[in-house]
Amino acid sequence: MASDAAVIIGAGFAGVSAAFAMREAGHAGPITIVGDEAHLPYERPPLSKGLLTGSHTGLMPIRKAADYAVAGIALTTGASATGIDRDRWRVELSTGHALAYDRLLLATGAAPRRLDLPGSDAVTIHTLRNAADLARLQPAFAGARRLAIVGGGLIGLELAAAARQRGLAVTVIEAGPRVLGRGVPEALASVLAETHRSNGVTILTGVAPASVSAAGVALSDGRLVEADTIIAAIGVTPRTALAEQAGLAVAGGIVTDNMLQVAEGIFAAGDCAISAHPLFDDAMVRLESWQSAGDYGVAAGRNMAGQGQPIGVVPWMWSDQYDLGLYTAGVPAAGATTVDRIEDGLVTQFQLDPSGRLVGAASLGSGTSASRGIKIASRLIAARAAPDPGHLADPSRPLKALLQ
Amino acid sequence: MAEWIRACGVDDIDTEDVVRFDHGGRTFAIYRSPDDKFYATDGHCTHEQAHLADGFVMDSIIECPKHNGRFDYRTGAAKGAPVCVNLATYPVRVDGDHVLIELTV
Repeated sequence: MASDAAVIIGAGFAGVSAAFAMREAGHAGPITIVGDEAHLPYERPPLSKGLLTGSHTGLMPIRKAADYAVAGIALTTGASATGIDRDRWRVELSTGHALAYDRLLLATGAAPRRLDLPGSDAVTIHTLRNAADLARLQPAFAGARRLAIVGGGLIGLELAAAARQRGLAVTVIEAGPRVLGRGVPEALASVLAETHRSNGVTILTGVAPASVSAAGVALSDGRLVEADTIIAAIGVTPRTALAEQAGLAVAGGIVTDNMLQVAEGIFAAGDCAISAHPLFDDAMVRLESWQSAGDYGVAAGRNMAGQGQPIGVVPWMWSDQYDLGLYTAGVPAAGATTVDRIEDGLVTQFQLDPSGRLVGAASLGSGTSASRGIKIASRLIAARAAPDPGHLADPSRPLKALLQ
Repeated sequence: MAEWIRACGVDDIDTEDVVRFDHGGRTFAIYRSPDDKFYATDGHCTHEQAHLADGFVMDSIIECPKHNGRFDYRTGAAKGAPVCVNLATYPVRVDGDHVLIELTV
């Protein structure tokens, strides 16, 4: 066993955040990040937004190359981990090398679900998750006229907005009864859907794709959505194969305890990990947002450095579509009652559990205007507060007063 | 040449809050602290192009609306990931009901 060596598998936001947090928390031994992409670790959120519309150019690094050198963090890019030898405390790499570890973090992320339909072998069905996907999609976008997006979730709708800004004809095909059925209240989802329609997007709900061809996407009801470019945005699955091979617990993600530990010396964080959340009755929660990847990555890094702090951050995420910004905090609870707050240009919905505790909130407004209310909601959720519903609903009463 | 420019009225900002001020093609954020002093910084977060006037002020900290990066708005100091680059700050004075910031024009 090497002396106090840390290995982090995965160079996304969780892995990079963990590495720097571990160093900042006083870990003195070597830290190595292993990433299977060739790039300096980069931010994923712009992939489905500015990098597709052309308002951003070039990947945005999470940290400058020099920061890794200053912090003494080794970056092994273009290499994947092929196995974990838990008896010998070693990670085997695709390069044939092995890395010894005393602390190992699995930050392997998630992979987009593939659309497997009759005809899908014969045409290209794009997905968008990483820089390579973007590099394939960008030229397709440039030459495309008609785009079919399968999946009306956040990524599907962000892609739709980006494609409209590029002048493409866009159809979104959603099998569920409405778009954003997972995690976004109907009141806000309907405003977003209407915004997409007024920007020229065709949204089809309650209908599934049956097959694909060079003509486009044939639907289960017999209709054809004509398209020269098809994107599947139907969610992701956590990348857990490495953990499973190593005999670690996997159930909808790599199962961690409340310190993000999986087994002796092994931790997991980010999209690949599932953990009991203390703010939500210890429900097993796997989060897929940028903010959570960072928060959990930092927590894992600190705990790998020996700090032993249980997790408890409130989930938070945002999405940009056209000039609208959607922000959410918390976890929508079954059986929750909702309180709507309507103020100039801003729609906010709060979710209260049966005891009156605030457990979730979502807000939609122009630009970043919806952020502040959700930051306040996030603090109330963390404090297990049961705010007065009358106050929440009254736009003349500042939300910030609830924090006092 | 440095010049004092009116950014807003004293009553345009609540205590422990922030407003936006645009001038000469540039954009700024003007703050009023809990101890009733006024401060000014660049308007955009140094991490990405989010405007800090939609951020959240707690004590002497402004939190970016988008990625939750934090700065001390009195000094511009970045307070940790994901923000690493400090914010530029500008001298502020109050003249009667007016909040003025000093800009080089």
